[in-house]
Amino acid sequence: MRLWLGAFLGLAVLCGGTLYALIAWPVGKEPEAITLAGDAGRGAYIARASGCIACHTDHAAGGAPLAGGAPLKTDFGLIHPPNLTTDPGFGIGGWSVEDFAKAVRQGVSPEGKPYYPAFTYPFYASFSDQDIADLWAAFQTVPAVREASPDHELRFPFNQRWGLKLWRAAFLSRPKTDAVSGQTDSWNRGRWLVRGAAHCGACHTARNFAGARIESRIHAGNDSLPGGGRAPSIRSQDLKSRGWTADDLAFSLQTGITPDGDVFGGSMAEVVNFGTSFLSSADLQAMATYIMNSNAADE
Amino acid sequence: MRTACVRRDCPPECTSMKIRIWISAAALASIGIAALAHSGAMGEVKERMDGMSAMQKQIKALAPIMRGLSDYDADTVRAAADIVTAHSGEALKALFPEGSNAPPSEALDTIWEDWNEFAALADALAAAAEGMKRAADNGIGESAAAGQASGMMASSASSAAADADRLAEMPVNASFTAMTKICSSCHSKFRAERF
Repeated sequence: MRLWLGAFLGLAVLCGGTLYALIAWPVGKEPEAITLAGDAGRGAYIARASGCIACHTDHAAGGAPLAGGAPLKTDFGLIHPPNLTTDPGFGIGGWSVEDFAKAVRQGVSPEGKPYYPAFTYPFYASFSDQDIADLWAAFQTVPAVREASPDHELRFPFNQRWGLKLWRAAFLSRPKTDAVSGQTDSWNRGRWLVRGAAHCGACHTARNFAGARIESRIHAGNDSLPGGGRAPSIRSQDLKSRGWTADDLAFSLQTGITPDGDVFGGSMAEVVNFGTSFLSSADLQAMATYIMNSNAADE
Repeated sequence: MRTACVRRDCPPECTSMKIRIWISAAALASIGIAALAHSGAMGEVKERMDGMSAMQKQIKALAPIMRGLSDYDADTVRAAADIVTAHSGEALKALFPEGSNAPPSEALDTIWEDWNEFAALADALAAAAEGMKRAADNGIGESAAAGQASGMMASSASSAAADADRLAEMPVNASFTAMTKICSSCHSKFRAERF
């Protein structure tokens, strides 16, 4: 009897200790000081390409830019994209550029809390210091909105943020955005956009039980988007068999019009209307070139 | 069939005939139901789906012209604009009576929850089609992306409030994409997700 009690207590201490260690385990690393001057125009362009404005603005409800987006209905509960305006209390007005860099590239808050991967920071990990400085300059131009971001409404155990540390250890990997030698500048620019900033794979790749993208299913489509929608495959052979060309793809990213004369609805309409329709023809052509001339699964 | 059949003292061969009639009737009815389910829509749902297809055909035909892939012809643009006009505005709204959402309708019930917004988009489409028609003689212009150097604040959603006069002044391709943006705004809010 005493032995059992001892074993039980030992186990409890071990579990408690592990949990405590997990909660205390620091994630992310302090970025080096960023002293580069930012170009707000270029930053706004990256913010468009990256979906910052699309996701953190509640367009349907007529919300102020970046003051917080419409909630995302995930399998784990409701996620509220927070207020990113310059308000020092409710937005990110009190942050340093290094705080911002850590949030965007590493998915870790200034207080060291890991963010939920509904925030597509894994795609932004290879942003350069110049990209960050430019984005930061652009965010400084956003008028402050004194409005608190609602707390996420997630089920247990997903409401325990320390669990995200395990998630990061298991699933977080660097985006494959580096230039590939032997490919054209346009193809490489497309790769940086598609695999990085524009985060196409966030929707077009199926996710596992823990909400992590299944690497082998990259760009092969996803039947259960937040909110119940579906994203089709954007692998080159699938697009080709559905009759798409690179030019069609660039045109539909600019206008939302598909080769059969339909016009996107659902979340892809938002991606186009609040994101890709703002990109240059050269960048849209680059994205299309990369998508139609690569096999993301093999890279 | 003889009148004897309706009598109570129906002979055996007559009874079997009755059974055969019932079986054939049931078979016919089930074929009929299957046919309906396949061809799908009836009433307003069918009419509006046909209307959407008619507009889709115009967009499909116009896109290569607006992209400069086929020769430009103002009359083609005007004819297409007329077809969009015929299926938008009042005509479009009339085909969405409250609750008309039987399968295979792809409409979302939000149409009737936010009727004013839906109606405004239907009207905006009619105005945009008129604007594009008037822009037909402007020809194709530089196809600038919607909002380069637009900063963090510009919202392309504002262009959903298209008015005919503004679109009539634009190069026809810009007018065309301003029109299809209305399609997109409406689909994103009021049409079930496709694929």
